[in-house]
Amino acid sequence: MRRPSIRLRLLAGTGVFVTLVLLLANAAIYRSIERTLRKEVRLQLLQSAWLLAKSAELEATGISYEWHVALASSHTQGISGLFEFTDLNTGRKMGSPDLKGEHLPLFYGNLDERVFRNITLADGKKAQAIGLYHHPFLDDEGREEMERAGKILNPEDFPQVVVVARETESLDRRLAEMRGHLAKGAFATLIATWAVIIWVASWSLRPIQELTSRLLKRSTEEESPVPDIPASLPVELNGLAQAFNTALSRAEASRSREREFARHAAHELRTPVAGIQSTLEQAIHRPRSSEDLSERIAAALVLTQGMRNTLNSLMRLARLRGGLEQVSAVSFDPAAILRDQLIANEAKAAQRDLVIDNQVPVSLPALSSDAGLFSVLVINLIENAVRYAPPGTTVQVGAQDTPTSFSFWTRNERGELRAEDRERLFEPFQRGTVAADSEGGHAGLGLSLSREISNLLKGRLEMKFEDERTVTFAVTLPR
Amino acid sequence: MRCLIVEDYAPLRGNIEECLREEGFAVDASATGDEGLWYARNHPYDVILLDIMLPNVDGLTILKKLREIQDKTPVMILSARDTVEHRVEGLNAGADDYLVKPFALSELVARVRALLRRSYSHESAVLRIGDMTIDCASKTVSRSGENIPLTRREYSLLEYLAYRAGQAVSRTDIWEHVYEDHSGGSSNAVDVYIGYLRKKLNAGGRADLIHTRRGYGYTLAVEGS
Repeated sequence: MRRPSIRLRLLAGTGVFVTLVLLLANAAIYRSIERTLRKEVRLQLLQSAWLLAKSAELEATGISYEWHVALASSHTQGISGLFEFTDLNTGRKMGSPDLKGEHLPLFYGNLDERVFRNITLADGKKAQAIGLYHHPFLDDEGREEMERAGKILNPEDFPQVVVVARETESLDRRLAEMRGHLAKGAFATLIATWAVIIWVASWSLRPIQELTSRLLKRSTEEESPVPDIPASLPVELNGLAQAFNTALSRAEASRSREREFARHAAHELRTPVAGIQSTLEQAIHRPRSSEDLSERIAAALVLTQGMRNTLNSLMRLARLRGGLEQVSAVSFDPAAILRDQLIANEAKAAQRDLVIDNQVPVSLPALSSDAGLFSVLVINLIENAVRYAPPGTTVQVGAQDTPTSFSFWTRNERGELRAEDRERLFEPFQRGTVAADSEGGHAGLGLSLSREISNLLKGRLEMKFEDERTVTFAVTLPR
Repeated sequence: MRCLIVEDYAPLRGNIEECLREEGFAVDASATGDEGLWYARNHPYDVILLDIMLPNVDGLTILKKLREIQDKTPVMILSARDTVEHRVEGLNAGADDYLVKPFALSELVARVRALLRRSYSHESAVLRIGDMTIDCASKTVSRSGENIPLTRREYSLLEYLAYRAGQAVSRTDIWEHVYEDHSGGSSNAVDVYIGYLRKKLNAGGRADLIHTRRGYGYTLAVEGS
């Protein structure tokens, strides 16, 4: 699967964005300049048309085109371009000398209405033109002259059109050049932006590469500490790096627990096998009496039974952890199960000079849960208490019922148990400071099993150090 | 030869103990790390068999502590941990051998004997002093090809002297390495067994190979060598 690239995304994203911005900005600039220049041309055409219209004077003898006078003063008055007068009554045309006998297209609108058109000049060049329909100019002096000549003429009877044109190809060329400059500028800006982005991306991503190489190196040294986050790592990636380190630490803690489990499992399984093998080897090593042989075979059987117990516990733990253990809900008397186990442990308690203080109420309301799993919980905790309590001390076993929960506990002197061992003791194969025995029922799986069972029954198993001397294991199950 | 077993699993500990005794070793056994360390520090052993996962103090810690005080007693680790890393860890900690559980007792004994040979700089399981041959594997003794039957204690005493052939070995040393208890022993008991040995070894007018070194103890050697 192709992975997204930050660098490519930055390049593509900024490329599109910068290109768009540059295109729009350049287009806006170009349009603004083009409008201004074309407006300027129009203004000049309009100005020229007005001045030329004024130069068509009505006299007693008719229309007099004094454009040359106007032209002579055009440096100050702004007549530019080609122009041509047309007398609409006679059709007579009077063009500027630059027309060289050619004519401009005749077009116009209403009186004094300016009409612009793009035209093609006789030499084929593109041009813009204005057509202005007007009446000849008549001032007081002309009117007096007409009166003196006894011939009064009305300007409205002499409709005139002046068409002024200005070639625009040079303007178009300048605009085309400007478009080229703007495009080149935009392209250069885009390239420069991309170069900066590539550099910034590389600069910003370099700490990631550094972190990656640290992590790769770290992956070959499993026991070493999780690598520090490089100081140069961008702050935006700190959270990711922290989360990665946390995940790595958790994974390694889990792996470490797995290794510890495998290490202990190997010990707890291989050692009894070694015991069985050595017992049988010793049995056949030399001729022995049948009684001696029977004793040795019986000892090997005890070891085999112990291994079976350990394997059963391991299998149950595996089923519990794998979610394969089925929980049934039946109604049973929890007090009876607790009492039975206290009786079952009386002999062992007596052997260790322990006093069992039974604080379990004589009767308790029935509990609806898995009676089998509940029994395993009770057996594990009471046997643990009787096994680990220092000799000559008291083991308290109690139970309490509330409308919402049922709980039972064992409390005894903690001996060498330390608060810092709290979590470790719930790991499989933790036996504290007690040596392995041949029965295999105490391979150090009891607390792990009990915790898994408590969780499965939606309850909890807690280990409490309520004072300086005692340790309490309490199971609370929901009602 | 005196051997210390530090193993918390009672059935295995008991079987090894019994097997080694039958092989003529004097054996001490301990179920916990702290007790094992105390034994190792306070008594001279020819070999120590050490489990790793022990209550109170683990085997590797015991081994490191012994090596820190320059105790060069050969140590064989007996462990269920079977990976190369674990073996390397054990050997690097100062172990001389590493045996993975489960193992055959015959292999254990053979390895213990190999450690002893190395420890006393002998290349073969057959020791020769003059015309006397001691086969440590079959625990038989002969002189000039003639088999000499010995009791277990006599054999152990002769084997210990043979491993240290040519050296003066004190009665205390003999007591500590051949006898089961640590009471300090009785020089008389050692002398009595030396007397038994001499009687059997020198039968038929053979040359005495056990020489008394006044003020030192005994030396097993060919006279004049």
